[in-house]
Amino acid sequence: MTHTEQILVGLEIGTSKTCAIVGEVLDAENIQIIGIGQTASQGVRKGEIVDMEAASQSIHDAIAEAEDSAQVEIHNVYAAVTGGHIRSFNNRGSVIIANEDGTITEEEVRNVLLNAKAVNIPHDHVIVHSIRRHFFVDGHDGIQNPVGMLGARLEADVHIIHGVRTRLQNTIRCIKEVPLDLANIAVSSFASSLAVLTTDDQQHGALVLDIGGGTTDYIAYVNGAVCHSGVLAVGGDHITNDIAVGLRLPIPRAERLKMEHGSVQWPTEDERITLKADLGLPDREISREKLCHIMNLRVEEMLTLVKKEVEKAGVLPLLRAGVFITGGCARLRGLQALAEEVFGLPVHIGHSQTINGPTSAIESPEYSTAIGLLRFAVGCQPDQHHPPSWSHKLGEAFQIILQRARSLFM
Amino acid sequence: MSRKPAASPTETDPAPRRFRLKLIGVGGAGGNCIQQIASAADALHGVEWLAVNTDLQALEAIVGADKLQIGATVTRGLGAGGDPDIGAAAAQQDIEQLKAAVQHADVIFLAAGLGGGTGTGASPILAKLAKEQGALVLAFVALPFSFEGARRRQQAEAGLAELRAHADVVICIPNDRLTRIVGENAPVTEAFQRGNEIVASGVRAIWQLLSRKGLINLDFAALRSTLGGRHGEGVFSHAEAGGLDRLREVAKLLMDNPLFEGNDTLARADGVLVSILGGPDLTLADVQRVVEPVSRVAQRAHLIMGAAIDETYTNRLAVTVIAANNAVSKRVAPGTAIRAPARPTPVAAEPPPVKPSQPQQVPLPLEGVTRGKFGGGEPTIYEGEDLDYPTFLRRGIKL
Repeated sequence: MTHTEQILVGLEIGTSKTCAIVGEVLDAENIQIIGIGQTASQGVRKGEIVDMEAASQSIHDAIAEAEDSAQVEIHNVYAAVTGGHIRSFNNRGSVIIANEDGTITEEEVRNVLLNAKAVNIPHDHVIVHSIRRHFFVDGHDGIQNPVGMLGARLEADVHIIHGVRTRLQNTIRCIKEVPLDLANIAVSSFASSLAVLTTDDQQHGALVLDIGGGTTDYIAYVNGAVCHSGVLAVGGDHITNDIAVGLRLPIPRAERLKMEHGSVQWPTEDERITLKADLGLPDREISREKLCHIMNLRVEEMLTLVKKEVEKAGVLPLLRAGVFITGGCARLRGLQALAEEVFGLPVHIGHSQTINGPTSAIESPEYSTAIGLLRFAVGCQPDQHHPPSWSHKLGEAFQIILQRARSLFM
Repeated sequence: MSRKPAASPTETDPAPRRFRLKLIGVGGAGGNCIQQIASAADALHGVEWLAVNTDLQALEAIVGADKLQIGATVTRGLGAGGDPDIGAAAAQQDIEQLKAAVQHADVIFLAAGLGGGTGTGASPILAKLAKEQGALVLAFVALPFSFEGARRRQQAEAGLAELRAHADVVICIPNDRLTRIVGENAPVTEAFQRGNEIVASGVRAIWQLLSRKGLINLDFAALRSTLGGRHGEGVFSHAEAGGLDRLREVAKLLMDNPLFEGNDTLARADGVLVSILGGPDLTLADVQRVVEPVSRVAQRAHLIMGAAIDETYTNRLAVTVIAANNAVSKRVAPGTAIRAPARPTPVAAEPPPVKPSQPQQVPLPLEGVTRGKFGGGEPTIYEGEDLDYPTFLRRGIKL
């Protein structure tokens, strides 16, 4: 095994920032973050690249910084993709067990998963993930690993995430232009959930909400399996734009105001915020109440729309572990309380729980997608990485996550 | 453009209680509008017509409607000369006559062109009087062409704001949009005619709802609860089609109406009224198929619908949609002062104290500006609503 195989890099080209996280695989359970590179994104709007050259430059800068901080050379990355074009649904595949004694083997499992993946999607779409959920043997559900069981019919439920081929290829091409090798891509919401949710959370049922600069990515787990996901192309930029329109400010100033004084909760008393004059512009006073009102309306709408989608899928009552919010907008003041009010569920501001590393990285909600990519990457590694005899010793809980991660492929 | 006679009232369907609908045209444009509608072959049975103007000469040219000259001493019968203050002064002078004119009506339609003198100045006063008499006030106003310059536009906006404070619903018909409806090279008269037809179909839709018996009957209370007290901007769409494919055609025409500005205004609506007129072959399934796309877009709205039957509409279908926004959202910050939405009161009760003072600054339908940094990109459309627009603007919330 060469050195590079133990080093994994997660790259997220976000709407507001591009970041690369370098992780070292200690063993299958433990990943250590050893380097971070981050730069402001150029040429990305609503999670999608609109200017290849500028975005390439951002990636280059972020990777260079990550190389510096981790003291490694980066050739190969795992990347996150998002965008309003990404869709998902659940599908079931089935095969008849043709063996003489009716034992289910690896091959049948492979076949049933292929069968479940054979779905009708629009001709310009391509499947990004086909995440396995449960197996059924002769109609008995909730089976995690059917290999070795006896049965006549094997079925598999999968969650399929697909997107427009050309729009996904923009990201891929952009990374290749840097130049970097792309090992695999993952949808942002899925990557974030791998960083934020523990296996217990997944079992109990949880919703992960990654509110980034341009998009809000969400994914719901019930009984340890992904059962719903989606992308709403509204994010922090929309909050900023609303402020800029409502208070008649230039965008950068609205952005600063949002971060320094903004809250999505009503302020207890109205304060005046005095804008500092620069370049000789006169001071301006702004009502904090107005600012918070604009933000409250927008964020409440975003949360309500996600709630509506999750409700439509019928999973809202099954989210016993609650809602985990991550992404840059998780830092918005008052978000936790507002989200609790909207969802009627416990809301946690998500930290990356499944990985080791400096607190500054783990506690930052904006890194969770890139961190989650490392978890995703471990799942994509070839099998010899975890010899079977050894993985048997692991707790059942970990096996589940391992399996799920392994099942991801293009 | 040939128009099918809408409803030649038959002797056999006398409305159990006669609603009094009155269309008042204020100023030159309003007068023209009345003139055209009243003289049309399908003059609506039981609707009263009144033209109000400062300009005696213009008034004399109108036939087929009652006339009222205002401000005879202020203007000496010569018109307000494009000054809203003179228009308002003229209305104040003859306020008693105007009050008498709006008495005992259930629904008052105001038609006026904003930007000039009489229409801009007098129509808010008339709306206020009508409201005080307990009528439901729907105003159709034409906004000036953009080439008419900034001054007329400002006057129109000020008049519009004041009108909105008094009327239940104000439906704007920007003249610029008329060119989009009739095409660049259409003669001016045709463009204005189409504008008048829009007003006519709006009046007809309400009249139909109230006076015809149909599959689904609507009462005045329902109308009032949907459109009353909104004080916001309204949109309006009317479509007619015949033949086998009429359902689909009507639905398409309704949604493609240039006055709708895409689908966004409908999605933001708080109250929506759908009026359907069809022949005896109209089925409930047809009604459902027409209303469903509207209700899917206008999710937040209180939607009422009526379906009426007319023999002449066999194999034809006419649908009118009126949608209105609240000027002030019901959801307000704890502790902030709310301008109480003026509740429509019964005729007998004391008129609600509507304060004419501060003209309400309500968001005008700005195009392109508010999408800000998302200008060039693909819009985020969620159930017909463009989420790139600021939420507070879409909901019509005043900050």
